[in-house]
Amino acid sequence: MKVNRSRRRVLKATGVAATVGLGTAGCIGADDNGSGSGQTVDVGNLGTLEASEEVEIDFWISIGAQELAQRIADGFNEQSETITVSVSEEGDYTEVWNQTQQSQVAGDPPGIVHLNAIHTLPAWAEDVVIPAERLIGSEIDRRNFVDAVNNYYIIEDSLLGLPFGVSSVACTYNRTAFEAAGLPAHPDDVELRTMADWKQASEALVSGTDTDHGATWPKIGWFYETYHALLGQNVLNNDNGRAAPATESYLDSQASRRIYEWNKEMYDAEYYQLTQEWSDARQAFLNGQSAIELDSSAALAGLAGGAADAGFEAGVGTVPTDAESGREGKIVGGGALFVPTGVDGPKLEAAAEFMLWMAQPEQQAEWHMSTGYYPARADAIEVAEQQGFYEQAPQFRRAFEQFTDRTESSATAGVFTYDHSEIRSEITNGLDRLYAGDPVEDVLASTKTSVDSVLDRASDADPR
Amino acid sequence: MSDHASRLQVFDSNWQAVLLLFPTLVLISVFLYYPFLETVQLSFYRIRVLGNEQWVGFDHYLDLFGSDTYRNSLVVTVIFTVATVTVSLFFSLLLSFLVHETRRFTNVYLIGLIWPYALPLAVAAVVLDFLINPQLGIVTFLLNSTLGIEFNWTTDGTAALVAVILAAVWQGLGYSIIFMTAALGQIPESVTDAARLDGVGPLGRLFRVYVPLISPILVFLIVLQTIGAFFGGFALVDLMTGGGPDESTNVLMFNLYQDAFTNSRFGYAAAQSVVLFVFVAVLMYVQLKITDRYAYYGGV
Repeated sequence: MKVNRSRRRVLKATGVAATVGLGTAGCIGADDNGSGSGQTVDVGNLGTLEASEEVEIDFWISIGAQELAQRIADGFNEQSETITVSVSEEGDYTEVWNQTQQSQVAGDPPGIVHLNAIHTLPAWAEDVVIPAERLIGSEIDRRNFVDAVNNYYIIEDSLLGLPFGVSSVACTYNRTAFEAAGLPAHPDDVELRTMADWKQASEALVSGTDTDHGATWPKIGWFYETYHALLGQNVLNNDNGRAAPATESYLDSQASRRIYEWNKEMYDAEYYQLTQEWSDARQAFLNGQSAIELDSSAALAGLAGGAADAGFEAGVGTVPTDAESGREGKIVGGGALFVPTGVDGPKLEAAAEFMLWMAQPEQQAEWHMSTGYYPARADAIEVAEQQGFYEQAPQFRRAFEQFTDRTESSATAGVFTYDHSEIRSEITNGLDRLYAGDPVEDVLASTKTSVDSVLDRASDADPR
Repeated sequence: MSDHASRLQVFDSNWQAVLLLFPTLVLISVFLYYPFLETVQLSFYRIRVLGNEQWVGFDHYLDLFGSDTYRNSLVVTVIFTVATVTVSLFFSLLLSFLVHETRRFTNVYLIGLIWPYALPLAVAAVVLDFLINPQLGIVTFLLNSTLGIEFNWTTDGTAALVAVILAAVWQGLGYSIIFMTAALGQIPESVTDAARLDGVGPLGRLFRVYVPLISPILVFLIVLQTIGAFFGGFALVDLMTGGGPDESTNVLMFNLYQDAFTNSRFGYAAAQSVVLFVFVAVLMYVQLKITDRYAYYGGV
C-alpha cells in the first residue's frame, strides 16, 4: 500500500499556514497538480505598495549581486510605509531550492525566493510555490513580456514565476586577436554564425596569432540544449516535455549528430579548449588561450571589463548553428522569483506587492543594466535606451536582440521536465566519453540510453 | 562487597555515573542516533521535495543494487580506499622510520611531514589541483617535458582517480606519521641494540622488528584510514573532479550528496547512506577480526 505524507500535511502539522488546505489525500492528486490550490491566496488591493500591517520579508537571491538586489529593494522599502524587504544571498540556485524546502518544513519560509528555470516544474507541480499568476496575474499584462520568456514560464495559461535574471548563451570574442589574424573583427561583420565559421576562424586564430585555441565553453549541458534549439531540434519527445511528460530523448537525431561531430572535430584539432567550469572558460578567454568564448549573457559586462583590463577589446559574436538547417533560436536560462507555499497573511501581501514592483520596467531595466541579465519585458529596453545605456554598452543590446530574434517553438522553449539537472549530468558524462576518444555514434547512443533512463523516473514523478 | 570490587567502584551510586554520562548521551542521541533513525525512515519514502513523502518500502534498496551508477561508485570507492590506505600507510611507515633514525633536525623533518595534514582538505585539493593541473601545473609540465608523460586527468578517468588518490595520500600522510613516530619512539633502545648486534639491517629492523611491535597502532590506523577513505573523499572529489570524467571518481559519498542535494532524491540518497553505514560497519568488523590475529598487544 502506498502511503503519502504530503507537503500539505507537514505544513499543517507544523502549524505554519492556517490557510493551507487540510486535505489528507496525496498532494500529487489529479486535481492538485501544481495549481497551488492548497493555499488560499488573498493579497488584498494590489499595487498600493502596502500590507495590512507592518511586516518584514526576506528575499533569498541565488546569483550573487546581493548588494544590487538590496539597492533595488531599498527603493521599494522607501516607498512603502508597512513593508520592509531584506535581501540575503543563500548560495547557488540548488542551495536556495533545497533551503526553501527546509524552511517550509521548519515552518518559516522566506517571502520571495529566486529559483533556477529547471526547478520551475517540480516547484509548481509539488506546491512548493504559489504560482505568480494567482498573486499578481490580475495586475500584469503578459503581452508586455518578451515572448521567449512567456514561452518558458507560462504553463496552462498560468504564469508560474516572475522571470528575473533571465539569460541565454552568448558569444564573446577577442576583437584584437581577430584583427591580428586578419579576420573581420567588427561585430557587424564578424563571421561566427555557423559551425563552419567557427572552425575557420579558429584555424586562422591558431595559425596567425599567439592564441593556443580558437574557442572555449564550459562543459555544461545548457550549451548543448541551446545548440539543439538553434537547429530547431527538440531534445525530448512530447514537445520537449511541454505537451506531456517526456519519455524519450532525441539524442539520436541528425541534429545531435551534427553538433557532436562538429564538437569532436573542433576538439581533435585543438580549436576547442575543453574547460570544466564557468570560471575556467572565462579565465582561458581573458588570458588569451582562446579567442572566442561561449558564456551566459549575464557575464557580458564582466567579460568586457576583464578584456579591457587584459589589454584587448571584446565583441559580441553569435552562437553557432548549422547553416543548412537554419537558425531557430536560443533557449532561456537564469531564473525567476517565486513566493513559497506557506507564506500567508501580511507576509503574502508584502511578497505580492514586492513581486509586482519587481515586474515593472524600471526595476527590470536597472537589473539588466547592472548585470547583463535580460529584462523579462520589452519596455524595460526602452527605459535603458532612454538612459543612453546602449550607446556605452552596445553588446548588451546585440545579445538581447539575438535572444529575442527567434522562432517560438517547443525547441526554443526548451526542455521542461523533472530531473533536468540529472539529464544535464548525463550529457556532460557523454561529453567526457567524446573527449576520451569514443566515436560520436557510441557517445550519442550511450547518452541517449542514460537520459532515457532518467526520463523513465522523471515521467513517473511528473503529475501532469 | 569485596576490597577488589570497591577498588574498581569509581562512583558511590549508579546515578552519579548516569548523571555524568547524560550530556554525552544527549548529544550523541540528538546528533547521531536520531538522525540515523530518521535516515533509515527516509530511505523507505520517495521524496522529490521535502515534506512530500510517498512510502515505497524497499524500492530504493532494490533500485540501488540494480543501478549501474551505484555499482560504479562502489567499485570506485573500493579502489580509492584500498589505494589510499595502502599507499598512505606504506609511505607513512617509511617516512616515520626515517625520522626515527635521524639524530639531528628530527623536529624539523617531523613538522615538514605533518604540515600537509594541517591544511584543510579543501585547501589541499586546490593546492594539488594547481600543482598537477593538466594545463597549468608545474608537476604535469615537468612530467611531460622530461618523461613525455601526459597526465591529463580532466579527460582520462584513470588519471583522474590517480590524481584524487594522490591528493588524499599527500594530505593524509601527516596523521599517520604522528602516530607512527610516537609508536616508534616507545620502542626500547635495547630492542634496537639487540637487532643491530644480530646484524639486522635498517629495512629488516623496520619490517621484522618494529612493525610487529607497533602493530596495534597500525591496526588502529588501518581502521581509521579506511573509515576516512569511505566517508572523507568528498571534498577532494568535489573540488578536483566533480565526480568525473564520466563518473570515474564518483565515490559513494559524492554520489550520495549529488542524489540528495542536486537531484532532489532524498529517499534514495538516504538508502545509500544506510547501505554505506552497514557496509563500513561490516568491513570494520571483518578488518578488526583479521588484524587482531596479527596485532601484538603484549606491551611495547
